[in-house]
Amino acid sequence: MTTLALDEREIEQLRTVAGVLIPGDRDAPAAMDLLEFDDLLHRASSALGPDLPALHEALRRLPTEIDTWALVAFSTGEPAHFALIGTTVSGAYFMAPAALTAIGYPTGPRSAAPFDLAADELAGGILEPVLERGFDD
Amino acid sequence: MSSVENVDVLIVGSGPSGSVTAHTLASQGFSVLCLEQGEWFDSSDFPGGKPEYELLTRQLWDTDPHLQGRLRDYPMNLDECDVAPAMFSAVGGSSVLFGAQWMRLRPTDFRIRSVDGIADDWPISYEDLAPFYDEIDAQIGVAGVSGDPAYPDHDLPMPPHPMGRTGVQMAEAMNRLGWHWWPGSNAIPSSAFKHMGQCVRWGVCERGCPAGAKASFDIAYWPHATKAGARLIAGARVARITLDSRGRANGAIWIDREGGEHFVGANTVVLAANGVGTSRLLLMSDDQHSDGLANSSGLVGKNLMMHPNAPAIGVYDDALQAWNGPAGQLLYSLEFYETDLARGFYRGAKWNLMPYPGVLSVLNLFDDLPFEQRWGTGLHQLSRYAGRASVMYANIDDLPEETNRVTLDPELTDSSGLPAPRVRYRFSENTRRNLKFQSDRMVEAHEAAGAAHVFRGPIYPSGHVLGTARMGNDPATSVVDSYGRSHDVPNLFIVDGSVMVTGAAVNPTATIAAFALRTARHIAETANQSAAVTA
Repeated sequence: MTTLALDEREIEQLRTVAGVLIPGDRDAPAAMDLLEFDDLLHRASSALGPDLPALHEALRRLPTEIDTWALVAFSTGEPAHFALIGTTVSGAYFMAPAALTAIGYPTGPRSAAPFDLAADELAGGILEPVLERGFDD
Repeated sequence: MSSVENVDVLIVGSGPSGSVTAHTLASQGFSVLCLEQGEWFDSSDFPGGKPEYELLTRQLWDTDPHLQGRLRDYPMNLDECDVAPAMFSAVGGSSVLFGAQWMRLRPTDFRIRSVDGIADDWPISYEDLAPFYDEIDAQIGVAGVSGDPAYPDHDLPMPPHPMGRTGVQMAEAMNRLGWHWWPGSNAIPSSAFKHMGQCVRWGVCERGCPAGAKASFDIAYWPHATKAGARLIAGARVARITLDSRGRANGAIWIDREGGEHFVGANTVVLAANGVGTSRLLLMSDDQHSDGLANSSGLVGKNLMMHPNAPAIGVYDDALQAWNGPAGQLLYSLEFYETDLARGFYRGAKWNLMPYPGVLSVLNLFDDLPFEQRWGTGLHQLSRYAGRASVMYANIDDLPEETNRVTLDPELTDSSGLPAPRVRYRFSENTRRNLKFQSDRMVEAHEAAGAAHVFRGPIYPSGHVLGTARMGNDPATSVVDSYGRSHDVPNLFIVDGSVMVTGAAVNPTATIAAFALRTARHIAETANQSAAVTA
């Protein structure tokens, strides 16, 4: 069984922070609306590797009452701790296909370039000015 | 201590130069053993295809070995370093994480004493290396466009990768500026080739290719080397090179993962452990030489060059699809490569344009914005710049200086208890002026291409560690001769970037590999004459 990097209380803290930092907009879902967000928070925190103890510490120092003003103050007073928490929640959020799709970013496997694309790019003479100038040592 | 065996050729380090040497000599019938302190990696190990890719690159897959936290790496004292060396201990060496930007030195790079009156000329010329460049290119499937007017004519074996919208937009801007550029040449075959897969443009080449499509030397060379009979032991950390009573190298002592010591005997020893690792090993191998092995010149570890790399990142309103690789270089420019003293410094830089993939990486560019613009609905607006950013890097031609050097730290040790290297590297005034000039011009390039925002990034950790065992004809002013043979120890060779007399400004791996091939051929050809190798 895999050991989770964060306990339930820490996950709840991150969920609350994400609710403030990443609301939805016209196209993009709110972090709290992503069904898989808890799983993504675990995955994000595990990916921090040697930074994980720093995340535990940052969460210990987080204010008890979390709202916009509390996070503004935290970001000013403890910028490194805030940055790590912000990276973790936004890193988890942008693992979600729905969040990536909303900004037009690809998800899933990639594909090879179209066969003729490189030749097409050069076919219009884009290199001609370079060749005409030559190169002086 | 257990004695394993005796071999014709012992190679320390399995990166580009070590693998080329192993393949070349094993193919000619020599018994070859390579010792590598790192491990084998598989393309499925790499982070680039995983959803948490950007988080993994913060530490576990950072290019800085200090942040990776792996015992196979040796620590370094970098208290006096203006830029951190980037390394990766693995079969294939740092090429596992290199960008595969495949560049030859220009002919002038071999003779800047003659051209500019500074530093020293190399004891070899472009023409000496050209056939070996060609041979390596063909072996690993270099992709690009022949005919760059900045170079003597040479063919590239594979057609180029597309530049994509990112590259075309910048190329058009460079044409408007009247500046040199050329489609990127990359050690990434443009179609499946030998043991390498098809590039699917993940754009994450510098963290290991998830598709196995990049010519890192674990897959581009080692399968061929082992088929030819070369053997490789991973997880083998070499503690020192040993000498016989005549002062000739006769093998090495190495330490396995459990701390067990072994000895392997060899008729010839080849060092291929990069500009830090090779000089560290020479300095540790001092049984008969108080200043380290092969160091009668006193130059082992000195003249370290690292190509400080200044980035300028452009963020565009245009939908560039900048998640598409390779990265790799989409294009490069040598416009500001050669010396123009009107700029206030010697030499110049090579530029390369790369995609700037990821969402967090783009968001981080805006970390200085007020909270309400960086977070909340502001985050969604900023995140739409993902896929619309590119980065131009300037690879600076730093010059050799004896004060930039590798020594042994008196206190710090690796996990085997061996002395760690202490690396001192400070920017000269010439380098600072070069960095400033190139950064300003790169900003102009992005602006000409229509960037909405341009950011100057911090100096990037450098995987180019060069010059610490320079080659030359005079034993008083060089460590090895023009074939990488130690002036002091005739059966000891160095084939990595340590031998470079000057660093040039292009990515050095093509030159390192070509030099290794030339040296390996020389070892084979002279084996019977010199008894350097008794096959």
